[in-house]
Amino acid sequence: MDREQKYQHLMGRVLRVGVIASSLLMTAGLVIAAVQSSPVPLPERNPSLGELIRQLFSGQLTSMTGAAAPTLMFTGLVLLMFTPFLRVVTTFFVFWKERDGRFMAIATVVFLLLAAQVAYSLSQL
Amino acid sequence: MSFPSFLSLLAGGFAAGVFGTLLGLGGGLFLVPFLVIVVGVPMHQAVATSIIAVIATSSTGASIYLERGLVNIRLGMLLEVATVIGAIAGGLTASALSGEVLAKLFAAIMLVAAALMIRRLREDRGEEVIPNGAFPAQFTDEATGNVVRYGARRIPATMAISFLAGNVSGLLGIGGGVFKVPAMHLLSGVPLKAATATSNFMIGVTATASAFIYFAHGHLNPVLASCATLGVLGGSFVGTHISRRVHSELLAWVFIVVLLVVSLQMFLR
Repeated sequence: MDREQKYQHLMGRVLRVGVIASSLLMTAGLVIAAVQSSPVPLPERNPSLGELIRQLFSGQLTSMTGAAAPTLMFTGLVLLMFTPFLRVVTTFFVFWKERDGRFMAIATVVFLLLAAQVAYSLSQL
Repeated sequence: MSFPSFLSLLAGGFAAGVFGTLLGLGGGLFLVPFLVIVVGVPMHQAVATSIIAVIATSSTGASIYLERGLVNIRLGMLLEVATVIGAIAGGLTASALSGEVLAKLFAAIMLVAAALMIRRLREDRGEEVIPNGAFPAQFTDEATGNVVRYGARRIPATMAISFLAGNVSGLLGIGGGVFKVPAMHLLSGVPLKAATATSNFMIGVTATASAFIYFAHGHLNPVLASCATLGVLGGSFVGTHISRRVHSELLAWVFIVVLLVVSLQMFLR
């Protein structure tokens, strides 16, 4: 296996870890929602990242009540939304290891565009 | 959500994942009409769910295609600059449009997609590989056992189409692969398998640019999105593994018929 292939394997693994983690969170949320006797109340709006993090560490999850279900699902979905960021960061790392300055710059531009977009969107919450 | 609705969302997501990964399209072209017509979800929610599903298809597909050495990372990253800018513009515009306008746009895009697919099938007889083009790469074609060496050409034109693909992705919740794959294959001369894999690698990044816009506008229903996404993840996994055995031309013709039927249904709604 040459160096390029080695890096492609690394990127593949990074992506897979992100996908598996987010699937487990969504599945856990759906299972909790399914076993509740009454319908799980959905939040009126999508939570901000800060609210999501606070909910994750508020003890809500360990209670395994219906309120934990949307928090777990949102966390899984947001984690999945961040996996392409991981892809861009890993790509930057690959170009850095290959000392390819031109493509390090291109990966940086893509990352900055995405980051600016996400920051703008989250500021609207 | 009732158990039958849960199962239908999983099944719809699964089918979108299989087709999306096999054809490098992301699956949004199937998922949005399915959510709107079959499940009865409002258009903006369907688009938001679809964008998440596109990320799922892309991340699953790319992880496997990367390990097979099929992705042209440099070409994908360069085209991604144009696509992300297009996606941001599309996502910002979408919130200002009504669901009805979005649905009609979607139907029109599906007609264009069908036309491009027919052209792609016709052009696919005997691939013209350009070994000395830009971004040279190689992969082993598992169907023939041959090592395919290729390069890309007409990069500015392909970038322009990538911008359009990003714009459509942001507007309509599809991966944009329906434009990227034909552009890379027909315009840049990238072999179809590499174009499909590179498109899969790109569409997740494109979708992320607009996913957060829909999230910020509150269009993401966690139950709906989780069910559909889990189905899509399963479908993508299966799609990448059966891609070696499935007769892609037959699949593409089935896909074209589905596109035309669904497009007609969305026009008539």
